[in-house]
Amino acid sequence: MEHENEHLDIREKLLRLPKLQADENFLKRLQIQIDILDSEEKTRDVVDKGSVSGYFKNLFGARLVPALGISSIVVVAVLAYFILIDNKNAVVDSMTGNKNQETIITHEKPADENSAPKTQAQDVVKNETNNTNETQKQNSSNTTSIKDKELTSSISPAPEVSPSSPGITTEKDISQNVSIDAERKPVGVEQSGRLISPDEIEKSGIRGITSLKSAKSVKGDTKNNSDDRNKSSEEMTSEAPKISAPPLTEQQQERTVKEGGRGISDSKKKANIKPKRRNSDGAVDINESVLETLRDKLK
Amino acid sequence: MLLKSNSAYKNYTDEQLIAEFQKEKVEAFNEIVLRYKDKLINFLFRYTGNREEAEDLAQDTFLKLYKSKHLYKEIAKFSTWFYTIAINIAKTNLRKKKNYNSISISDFDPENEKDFDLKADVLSPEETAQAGIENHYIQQAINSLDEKFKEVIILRDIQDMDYEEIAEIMKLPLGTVKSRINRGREKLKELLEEIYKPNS
Repeated sequence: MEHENEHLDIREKLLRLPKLQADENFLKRLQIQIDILDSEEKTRDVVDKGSVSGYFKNLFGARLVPALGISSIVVVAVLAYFILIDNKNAVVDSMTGNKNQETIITHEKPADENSAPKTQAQDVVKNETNNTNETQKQNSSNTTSIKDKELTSSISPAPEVSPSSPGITTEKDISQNVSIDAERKPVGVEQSGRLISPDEIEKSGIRGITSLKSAKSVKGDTKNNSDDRNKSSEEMTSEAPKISAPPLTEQQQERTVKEGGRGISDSKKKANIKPKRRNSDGAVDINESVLETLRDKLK
Repeated sequence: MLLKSNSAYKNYTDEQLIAEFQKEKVEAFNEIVLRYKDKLINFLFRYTGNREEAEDLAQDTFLKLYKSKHLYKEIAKFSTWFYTIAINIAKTNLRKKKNYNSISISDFDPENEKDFDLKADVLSPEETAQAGIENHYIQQAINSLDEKFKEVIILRDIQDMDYEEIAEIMKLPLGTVKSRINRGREKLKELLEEIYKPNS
């Protein structure tokens, strides 16, 4: 409080100083400045609103046209490529679908021999089983020869077909199997299927088991019947193309049998193959070789 | 907008006026301008020592008020808030000026009074004859003061503000304000004695 009352003379002097008043133009100048400020704010608002559209103009401006064009071309090319691939897959699926349909038809109508083409492997197995039945009838015994079993086993599990000779076990293969079987030691077989050595058979003298001699005799019979078997195999091989290659005529079949049962060469087969044939049901009959050629083409 | 006085706002307090102006009523702003323009120019003139500069700073202060009216909250007096704006603008201007000119007591030349001439319409020839010289020297002494003393001396002894209001404007403790005012007066007295010596 003491400080406040000190130097009061100075305070009085300062308070007595003349008071300045604003210039006459002060209000006009202030008015002009306020108007300028308002107009600036309005233009700023307009610029702020326009900045959004300006951003998009810059984004899609002329300078980006080449880049956008190139990128659009690339996108179209990629799309076209994938569409083409889809179309190819659709064609393959439709083809495989036809094949499946064909197999279903064959399974549904097994009795109709003319209309439904059987697979070659199935036919071969059927022929072979017929042959074995015949031999069994000839031997008129309950025993089955191992040779026949092995023969059937060598022939029957042929679901997968080689592209050169689809589903056909040739005479050569069969003869090889026969020769291999001939080298093996003959053994007896129980009715249950257990293998028994010849000594055991002689010792035991079990009935119902084929002895070595009988087996040999069976073998001899089979050897005697080997000509018949060869003939049957020749018939089988000669019959096989009859089934697998439907367009062959009977004359051609006889000719192939005369030539040694080799059948028709692959080139001839391919030449004789008709790509599609319709069954009596109207289903598309596509040969496997045709399918394979199609697959190769697609690959 | 025309800066004309509206009789409806004559009885309004400053706080009521700024509240009306915050409701986009420009007539309230006109009333504030009419009330404060002379006080503000006088304060800024004493602070800067230049009339034109004071008027420019006053214009800037009113423009700042016009733009930043929503920043005022009724926790302080309007005059306090308004002078705070004015002082900040004046300080900023002074800093800019100091980059080009440095004003110190050593640069003081009593013969070169060009910058401190008062216009004829402010001081009459008779006043100038007797009190004008004194006023000139007082203004020179004020300009020579340290900034921290000058601000409080002007606010207290020229604008006649309360200590509390000065403390609020300067954002200083009350004791600091009082001591600064006392020390500023002492310095001013010394300066005036030095100025008067050559004349005497």
